[in-house]
Amino acid sequence: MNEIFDENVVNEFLSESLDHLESIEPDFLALEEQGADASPETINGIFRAIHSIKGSSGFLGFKSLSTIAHAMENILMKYRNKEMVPDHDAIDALFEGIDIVRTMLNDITASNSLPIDFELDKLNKILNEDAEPATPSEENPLPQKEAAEPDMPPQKSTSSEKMTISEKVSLTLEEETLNEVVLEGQKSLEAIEMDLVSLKHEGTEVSHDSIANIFRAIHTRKGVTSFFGFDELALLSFSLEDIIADIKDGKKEAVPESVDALLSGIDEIRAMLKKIKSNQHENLTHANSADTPDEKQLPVPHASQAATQENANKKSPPPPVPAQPQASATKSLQPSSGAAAAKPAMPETIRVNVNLIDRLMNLAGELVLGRNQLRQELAEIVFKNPKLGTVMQNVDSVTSEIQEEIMQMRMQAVGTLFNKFPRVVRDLSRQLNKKVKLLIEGNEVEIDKTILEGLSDPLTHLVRNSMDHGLELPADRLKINKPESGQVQIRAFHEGGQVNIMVLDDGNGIDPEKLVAKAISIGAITPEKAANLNDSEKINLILLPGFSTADKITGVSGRGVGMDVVKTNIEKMGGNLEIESMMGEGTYIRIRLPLTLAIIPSLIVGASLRKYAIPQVNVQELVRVKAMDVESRIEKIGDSLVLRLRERLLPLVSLSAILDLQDSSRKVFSILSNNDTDDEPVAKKIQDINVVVLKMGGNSFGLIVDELFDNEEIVVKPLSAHISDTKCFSGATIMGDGKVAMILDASGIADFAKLKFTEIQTEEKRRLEEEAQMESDAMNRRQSLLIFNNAYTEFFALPLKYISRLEKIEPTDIHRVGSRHYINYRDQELPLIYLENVLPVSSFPKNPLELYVIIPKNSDTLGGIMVSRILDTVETEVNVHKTDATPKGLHGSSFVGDQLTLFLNPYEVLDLFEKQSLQSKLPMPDIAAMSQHGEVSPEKIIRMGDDEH
Amino acid sequence: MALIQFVTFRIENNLIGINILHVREINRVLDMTPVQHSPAYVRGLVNLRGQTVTVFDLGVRLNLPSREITIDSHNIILKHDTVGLLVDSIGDVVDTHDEGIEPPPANMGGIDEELIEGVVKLEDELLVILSAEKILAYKANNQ
Repeated sequence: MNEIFDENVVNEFLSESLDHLESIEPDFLALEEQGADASPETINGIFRAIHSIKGSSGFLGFKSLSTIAHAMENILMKYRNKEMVPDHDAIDALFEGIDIVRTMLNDITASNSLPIDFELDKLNKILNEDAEPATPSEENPLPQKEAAEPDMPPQKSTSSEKMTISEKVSLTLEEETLNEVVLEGQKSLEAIEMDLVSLKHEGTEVSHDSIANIFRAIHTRKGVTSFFGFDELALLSFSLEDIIADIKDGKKEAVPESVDALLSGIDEIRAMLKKIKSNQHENLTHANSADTPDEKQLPVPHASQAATQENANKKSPPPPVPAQPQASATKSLQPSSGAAAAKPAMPETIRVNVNLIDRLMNLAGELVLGRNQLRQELAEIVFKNPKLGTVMQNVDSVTSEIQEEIMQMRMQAVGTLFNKFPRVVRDLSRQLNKKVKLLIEGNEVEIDKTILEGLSDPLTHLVRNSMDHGLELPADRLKINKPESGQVQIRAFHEGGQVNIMVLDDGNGIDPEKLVAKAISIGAITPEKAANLNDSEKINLILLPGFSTADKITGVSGRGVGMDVVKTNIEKMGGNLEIESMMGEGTYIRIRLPLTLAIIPSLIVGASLRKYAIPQVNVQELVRVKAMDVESRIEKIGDSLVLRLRERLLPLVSLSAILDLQDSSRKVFSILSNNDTDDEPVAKKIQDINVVVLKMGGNSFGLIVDELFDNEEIVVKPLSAHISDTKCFSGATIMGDGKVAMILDASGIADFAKLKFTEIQTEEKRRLEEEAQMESDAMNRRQSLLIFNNAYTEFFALPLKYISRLEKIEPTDIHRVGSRHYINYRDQELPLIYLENVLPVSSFPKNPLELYVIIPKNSDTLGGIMVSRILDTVETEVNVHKTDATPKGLHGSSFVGDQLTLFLNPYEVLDLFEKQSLQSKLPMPDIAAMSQHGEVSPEKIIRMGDDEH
Repeated sequence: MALIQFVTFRIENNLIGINILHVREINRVLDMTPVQHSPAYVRGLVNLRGQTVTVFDLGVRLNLPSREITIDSHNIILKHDTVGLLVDSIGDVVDTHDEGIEPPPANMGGIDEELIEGVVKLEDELLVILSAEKILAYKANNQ
């Protein structure tokens, strides 16, 4: 029968039903959690959804669907009436029911052929086994709603029990739910009315669609109203439904008279709804005791009478509508009614095709460009005519706002995705016999629809992984002093213009060694390489293709495709993924995503007078290499240029060279890479170099650009097929000046330049090791040492290679500024360092026989180390001992001759000195005092700001 | 006997036409952003009211020298794939009956024959009809 309905009707039913399913899943979970204490609203919500699916599917001829929904409805009815308490098995069965309903909805034409016996049996079993002990007398598992529908009007005696229940339900209803019902009702009435009017005009040539629509709407009304205890409304709807059913089945013709009757029925319902709204509550069940026959007659709509006449076989006139709301009802709801009146109506929504929004967004982009051009063209005229300025400003702000709002239309709260996880986690925890607490945070964070859709699979995978591989079994957890139930957290938050999504668990963590073993066994890395990895690198092995470390493959996860797919999917959306894990403590996965794919913040750079955009997510940092440092910081390893950046070697690529552009920086590049020895020294030809450090995955490289411009938000335009395989670009954009600029693709450029990251990393590692080795070797080889004193009793050694100069000075050469001492060294002031100020050693003698200053190499004006006596320079093989107790500033100590000698590390000494002088005044030995002892006459010492003695 | 209209234009003195039904518009938006490492026939991208259009150097596409941009140069924007064709100058719209279209002669002055749909004999010269479809077809080996 479904074939005869317009596709639209079916589609509308489908999307509505799927929405219903989505919305009730959390309710089921709440139901399970709360058990007997489940709130009526929760049950009501589920019931309404299931009921409307049942009604519509039955009418549209999807019998299986309707049967399943009916079975579920029965169980819910029991819950509502407190005849049954939801338990795990029941919820399982209900979930299975929901699943099969969803399957059917997704392929509705095949729904009738889908076997449902299993689920149905399960549902009925739940119903029966629970029903029997609870209400043994109840033989008919049909919901009471059905009982309210039949030909007989509700008898006072039989309905009294029900009344108390529905009263309870109604009274505990939140106004919000009620409002929703009313609002929904009013809306659907409008729709029904329109269909009815068309029915009237079309007469006998009625389309099945409009009848179907009317039937569906009225049926839903009926179900909902009866469920909420508005029995009179339900009965009225029921009468109307009968008429429609007759017309539908061809038993009756849609003559104008019957349509009129229907229309006035609708009016009546609307009036009732209005009353319900204004009184918050109008439950006729209360009225029964007070109702007099007169009152009953008074409000009975003639429509109902008409309807009844139309249905001669139906004997029951609908029960009356009271003229006045019942005092009891009003009273009981008084406190809340005020609040409800103040509450604004639910915001209205409409469904819009995504393509439309996409086109709107393009148009908004054009509008912005047009505005920019207009502004440029009109600048002069606006200057002369201030009135135009205001107009321009107005256009300006409206344009920006339009763009923003349209962007907003594409944004969806991640909650829509997160909401499916309570169910996933629940099912898995039952399946895996693990106890899990799921914490979800940041439901309200919004992200572009496309990204949200792409996020669903990866996130599901991560949550599954956490539950299957991460969390331990409850017994095991107890053994290691963890709470019995594990915790999985999903969090979303904004940070730095990106959306962060984290999946955390407090499970077992990832065993790096296990990953290494596995990686070696599948040949992903060599054992030698593996030995060099640190823990975090080892954990990142999990991102290699074909990884699965679960000891046995379970139905949940562990099929060997996994994290690499997750990573690829995330990266496709311009995001990245980080894993951290502590053995025994848990795993932490962080996904960073751009807010939107359509508009991305970018760094604009220039090469050869052209502008290019680099997505901000790829930019790690900006480095400017001064022309004078170029030679020392940039060098060549193998075929590639590298920049020494802190401890690391960063492969360098010139944008101009990559793009075959002619310009200055390319020249620099070629000079550097060819090592051409021109007549002029290289350094004179080159200028400062701008390097944009780009990161992709774990690697980074430097991109040399000519110019750096601002950060801008750019609208991404896809590339046509003819240029889409040019590796270096990921898209194009239109700049404010109307020109097209290309968007650079970091990983494409790295590929194109054939950057050999591993080669450079190996070299980097080698150098670091070499440096460390040199450092330790340096002290242990045969060295020329200068042996000297600070205090006469203590001996210090400094290898000659560290010494730039050794200057003999006179006390008169010392200038004092505040607490600091200086000498004039090559026309610059050189601060003097007394070792006791930076090292735990004895003080400089008060009256030294001689004064020397050691100026360490490469530190021309940082400081000179004061020496009170030079003992010797010796060439000797020394073995410097360094212990944990060796303070900073010393390489260690050793015996030179028979004296225990402290080996200075001049750079650390300088470092310490600098830090201390920043922090506080240094106590300096009183050289004024020492001068009194003879050698130096006091007047030769220049005293400046001498305030401490 | 259907009437077909052709937009005509010149490339290196050849009079060339393309079915008007494939043409979206003709303009002089010539501020092109070159796309490095793209096929040689791609001249660059232009901004057509917020849309990026890939402009082909029709000279290169037809196996002729690359075109210079002069004050007569125009872009013919095709309806599909948002592709534009850079041509030397624009001519009239020529109406002809479909049986007036003849198969191309053997030598077409160096123009890649694959792209030619046929020729129409006008009063004083030959109009070469290009196949829009074949021009739009991606030619991977043309680098």
